[in-house]
Amino acid sequence: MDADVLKKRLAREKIARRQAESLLETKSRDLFLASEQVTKSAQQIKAQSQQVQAVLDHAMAAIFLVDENEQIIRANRIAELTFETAMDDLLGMNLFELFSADAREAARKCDAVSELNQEMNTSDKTIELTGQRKGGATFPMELAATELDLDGSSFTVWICKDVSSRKQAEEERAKLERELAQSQKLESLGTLASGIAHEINTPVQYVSDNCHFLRDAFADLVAVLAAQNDLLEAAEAAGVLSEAVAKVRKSQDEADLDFLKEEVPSSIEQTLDGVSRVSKIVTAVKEFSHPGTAEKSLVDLNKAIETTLTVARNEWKYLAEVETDFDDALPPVPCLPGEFNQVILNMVINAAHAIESKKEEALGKITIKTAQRERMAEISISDSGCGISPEHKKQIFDPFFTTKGVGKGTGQGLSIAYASITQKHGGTISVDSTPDVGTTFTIRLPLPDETNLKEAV
Amino acid sequence: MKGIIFTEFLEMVDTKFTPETTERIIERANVPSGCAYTTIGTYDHRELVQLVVELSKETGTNVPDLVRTYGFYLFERLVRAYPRFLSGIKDAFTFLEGLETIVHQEVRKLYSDAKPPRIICTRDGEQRMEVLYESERCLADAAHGLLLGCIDYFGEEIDVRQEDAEDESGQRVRFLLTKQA
Ligand code: HEM
Repeated sequence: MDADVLKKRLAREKIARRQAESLLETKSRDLFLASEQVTKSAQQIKAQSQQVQAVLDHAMAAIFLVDENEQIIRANRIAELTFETAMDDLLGMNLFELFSADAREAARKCDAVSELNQEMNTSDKTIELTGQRKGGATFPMELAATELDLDGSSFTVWICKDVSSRKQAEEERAKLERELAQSQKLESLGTLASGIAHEINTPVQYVSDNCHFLRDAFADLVAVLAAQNDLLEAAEAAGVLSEAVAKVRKSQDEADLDFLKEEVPSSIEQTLDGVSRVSKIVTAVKEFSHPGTAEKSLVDLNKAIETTLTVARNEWKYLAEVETDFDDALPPVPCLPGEFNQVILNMVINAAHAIESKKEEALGKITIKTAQRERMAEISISDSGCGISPEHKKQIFDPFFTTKGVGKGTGQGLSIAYASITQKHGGTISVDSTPDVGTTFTIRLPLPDETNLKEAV
Repeated sequence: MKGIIFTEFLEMVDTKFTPETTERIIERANVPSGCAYTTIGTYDHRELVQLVVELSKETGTNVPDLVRTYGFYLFERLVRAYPRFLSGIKDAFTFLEGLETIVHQEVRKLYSDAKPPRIICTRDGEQRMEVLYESERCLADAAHGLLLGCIDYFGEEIDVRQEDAEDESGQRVRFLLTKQA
């Protein structure tokens, strides 16, 4: 190569090198700017994503983003808590595994509803379903679903709200309302009963007084009659006043005097007995109803049970014999007397109904025992009725659970008894039953400890 | 078009002819860039055409033959510059099938201003393949040469027939490659 050619090439190479260098600089600047832009966008995206996650995590409901294969691809913290499932397990899981078996179908329908929502542009349609926690426990929840398209694939957003505490509060309120209504009814019945008892007492009192008077008066009359009879006999023996004597004898025969002398006293005795029974019932009704006693007082349980049996006599007398076996040494127990009486009444009525359901000719038997066991007063009410089947045993204390026919029971009796004994009296109530043999309910109430007792006495 | 296509052309003239020939055609072509090419720069592809025309005048060989010759030469040079595109590949058909989606695609990544042609390969059984060339630059002869260079590189016996152009423009040209038994 001659020098001329080399010179030309050198000149071209220099130009080319400068070009290459400036190209390199432009490129590296472009690269720097691009990378700066990327870093900035990445930071922004990260911040936004953190914001979104924070918002999701603080939402008061479980939120899932679910792909077309029903797989969870994103979830929030509440989702972990609600379903007691760790995030790693949630992601990739089939959404419908989180719902109880019978709720899965409904949830799938909700999926269809979601399309409907989409069309109508609303998302406030929720359905109520049963969710399932990891341990298998179920809970009521509200569910809403919305469909969305992201980058050409379709997703659904599911919002699940655990409503168990709200449901529970609602149920509790309803229960309280029922209890209130029930106790108001009892209260007014009690007031009414003690009013009536008072009204009946006055006439009963003078009927009884008059009967005593009649008894005494009749005894006096009998003495007078005896003296007169002596006179008649003397006249007859003397053969005087025979006409007048015959008249008296005739009237004695007509009145059947001997019969009267025998029967009048006994009929007065029977009347007195009846009146005293009326008065006993009236007193029992008064004691039973205890209107307005909202404070605990020391109650003689034996007497209270006896009273209740008297009041409820009509409920059991055609069905059963009642036998009582009371521990006379049982100390008085702190009780709400009205409620305690109500509990015993419910138990006795239940026992009578159980005997009735057995449909036997002969009278059944209800046995009520009291005893002291350690620091507890124990009352057991046994019946020879139809018994409780094992599957019903769990439910008998539930409100509104009843196996009785329509109009027979509200299903409230045992649940009220349970609530009263366990919550208001700090006691226990248990049941032991053999189908077709009978049932024994055992109530235990705490006795006051010695010191308390001394103070109370 | 990328500078490597130009620098390699001048190299070829240097070796196949003489450096003086190179200087002469550069002088006669008198292109805007003055032929001060760097491989990473981008230049008007018509400069290449002008240089080839001057070389044809200088040597008396017709333009298509020269372009084809250059294509054949260029393949070997490209392989030397980018050996990774051939690693693991054992035959021409396989390589050509990946040309559009791998090789020229890589070129587009390296240079956002690069516009390599569209090369679409369609196999027709074991022995035959159709290669469709599409480019505004109408360098089908270069493609022809590159195909031959490629076949030569793999040491295969494959007949390359350029079909009659569907239109006059030369922007779409079909090649039929048939393996010889
Ligand atoms: C390792 C192999 C190859 C490499 C690295 C390569 C790379 C390139 C590069 C960098 C360009 C310039 C593009 C521009 O600046 O816009 C180009 C153009 C071109 N390539 Fe390839 N190529 C290869 C193999 C082939 C083969 C086998 C063919 C045969 C069909 C081919 C056909 C062409 C043609 C015809 C052009 C000219 C531009 C045009 O016609 O539009 N290349 N190639």
